[in-house]
Amino acid sequence: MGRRKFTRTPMAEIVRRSPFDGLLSHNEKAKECISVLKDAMEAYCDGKWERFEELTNKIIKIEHEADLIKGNIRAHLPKSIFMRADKSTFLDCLREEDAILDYAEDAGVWLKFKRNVIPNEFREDFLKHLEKVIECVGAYDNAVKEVKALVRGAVRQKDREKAKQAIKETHRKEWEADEVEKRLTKNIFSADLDPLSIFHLIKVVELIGEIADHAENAGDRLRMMFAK
Amino acid sequence: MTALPPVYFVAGLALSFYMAWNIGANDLANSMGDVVGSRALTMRQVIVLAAILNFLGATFFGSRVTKTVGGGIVPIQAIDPHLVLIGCLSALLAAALWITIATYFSLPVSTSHSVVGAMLGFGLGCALMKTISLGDISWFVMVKIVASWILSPFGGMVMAFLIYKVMLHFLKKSDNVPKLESGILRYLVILSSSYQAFSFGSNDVANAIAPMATVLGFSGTEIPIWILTFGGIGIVVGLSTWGYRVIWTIGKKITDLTPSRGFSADVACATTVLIFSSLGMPVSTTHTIIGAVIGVGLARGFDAVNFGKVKQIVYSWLVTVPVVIALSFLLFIGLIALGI
Repeated sequence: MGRRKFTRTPMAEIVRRSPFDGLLSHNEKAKECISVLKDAMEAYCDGKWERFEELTNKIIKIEHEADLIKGNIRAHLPKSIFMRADKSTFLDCLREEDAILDYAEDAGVWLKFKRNVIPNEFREDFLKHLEKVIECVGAYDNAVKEVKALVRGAVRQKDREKAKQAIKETHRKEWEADEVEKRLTKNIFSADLDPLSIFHLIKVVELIGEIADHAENAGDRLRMMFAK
Repeated sequence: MTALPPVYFVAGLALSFYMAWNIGANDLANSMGDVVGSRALTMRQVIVLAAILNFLGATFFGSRVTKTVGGGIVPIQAIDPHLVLIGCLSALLAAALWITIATYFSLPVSTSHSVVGAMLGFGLGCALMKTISLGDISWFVMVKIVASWILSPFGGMVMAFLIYKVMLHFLKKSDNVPKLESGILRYLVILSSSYQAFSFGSNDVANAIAPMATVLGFSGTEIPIWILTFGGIGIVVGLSTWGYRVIWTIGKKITDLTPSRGFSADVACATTVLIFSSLGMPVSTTHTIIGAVIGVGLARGFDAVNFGKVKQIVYSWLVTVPVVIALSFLLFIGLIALGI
C-alpha cells in the first residue's frame, strides 16, 4: 500500500468492485483487437505489407495486455470472495472471452505466414465476415452489461427478458458470420488458386470464424449465470 | 471527592480527547462514505452535517453507555479514589495505545471493544491487589456487553436485508430506477446518514469519555453535559481534521453503494446502534455498519462481498479484548508498584 495513512477503513474493503467490470474491460481489449484485425486484413488485401506488419504486431500487443487483465481478474477472486454469480461459470466465461483474443491473434499471425494476392472477389467477403464477427463480439459486450445489471438488481421481469434478448442477439450474429464463412469457403475452394494458397486462406477464414464461436460460447456462460 | 491533581486532570482530558479524535477520524467517517459516494452532498456539507448530528447524539443520548462503561463493569464505589484515578487513566492509556497501533496498521479494531477490555483490565488489577474480589466485577454486565457485540452486526445485517428487500419491491414497480436513484433516493441518503451520525454519537462518545467521567466521580450518577460535550467536540475535530480522508477512500471505492443500498444500510445500522445505546450497551458502530452492508449484499445489492475482510474483522475482535485487558492490567499494576 505504500505510505501508511493512519486510518482504519474496513468499509472500503468489504464490498468488491463488480467482477463484471473486469469482464467488460477484458472484452474492451477483445473488441479493439478484432477491429485492428479488420484493418490488417484490409492492408493484406491491398498488399500494403508494411502497414500490415505494423497492425499484426499491434494485435499481438493487445492480446498480451488482455492477458494481464485476465490474470488480474483471476488473482482477485480468491475463495473468500462471495459472488452473486457462480464463480466457476464466471471464470469459464472469462476463458471463452480470452479465446476471442487468442483466435484473433492466431488469425493475424496465420496471415503473416504467407503473402497471397487476394482475388478482388474475396476481398469483400473477407471484410464482411470480419464485420459480422465484430458485430457478434459487440452483441456479446452488450449482453455482459445487461447481465451485470440483472445479476445485481434482479429488479424486473423486463430486465431478465432484455438480458435474454441480448444473448440471443449474440447467437444471431454468430449465425450470420457462419453464413458468410460458408459462402467464402466454398468460393475459395472453387477459385483458380494454387493449393497452398487455398489451404492458407481457408485456414484464415476458419480462425476468424472461431472468434464468433467463442463470443457465442461466452454468451452461453452468461446465460447460465441467471438460469432459474 | 478529593481535589484532582492538575497533572492527572490534564493527562486524562488529553487522552480522552485523543480517543474522541480517533473515533471521529475513523469510526464516524466509515459511516459517511455513501453520502459523498452518491454525490448527494459535498465533503464540506457532509462534515458539517455529521458534526452537528453526532454532537447532538453524543451530548444528549451518550450518558447511558457512558454509565455502563465507566461504572457498570468495575465496582468503582468499593475502590479507593486514588486507585480509581490511576486505574481509569491506565485503561484510557491502554485503549489509546492499542487503537493507535491498530490504526497505524489499518486493522479493523473497535474502540468500544478496546475501552471495555481496558476497564476490565483495571478491575482485574484491583482484584489482584485484593481491593475487590473477582466476584465483585460485574460479570453479568460483561456477558451482556459481549452478547451485544455479537448481536449488533447480525442485527444490522438482518435489518438491512429486510429494508433493502422492501426497497427492491418498490423499485420493481418503477420504470426508471436510475432516475429514482439520482432523485429522491439521494435525498433520503442525506436523512439516513444524519440519523446514523446521531446514533453513532450516542454510542461512541462513551469510548472516549467514560473513564474520565469515572475519575471525576461520575459513575452511577448522571453524567454532566459538559463531559459529553467535550467528547462530542473531540469526535467532530477528528472527523474534520482527518476523517475526510477515510470518507474519500470509501466514497471512491464503494461506487456500487448507490442511494437505495446506502439508505438501507444506514437505517438498519443506525437503528441497531440506537437500540443498543438505549440499553446502555457499548457496541462497535463500524462492525454494525459492515453487518448492514453485508445484509444489503445478501439481498442482491452487490455482486461481490469480500468475506476475507470479515474474517480479519473477527480476528481483530478476538485479539483486541485480551490484548487490551493485559495492557491496561499491566499499566495499572506497574504504575501502582512505582508508587504513583
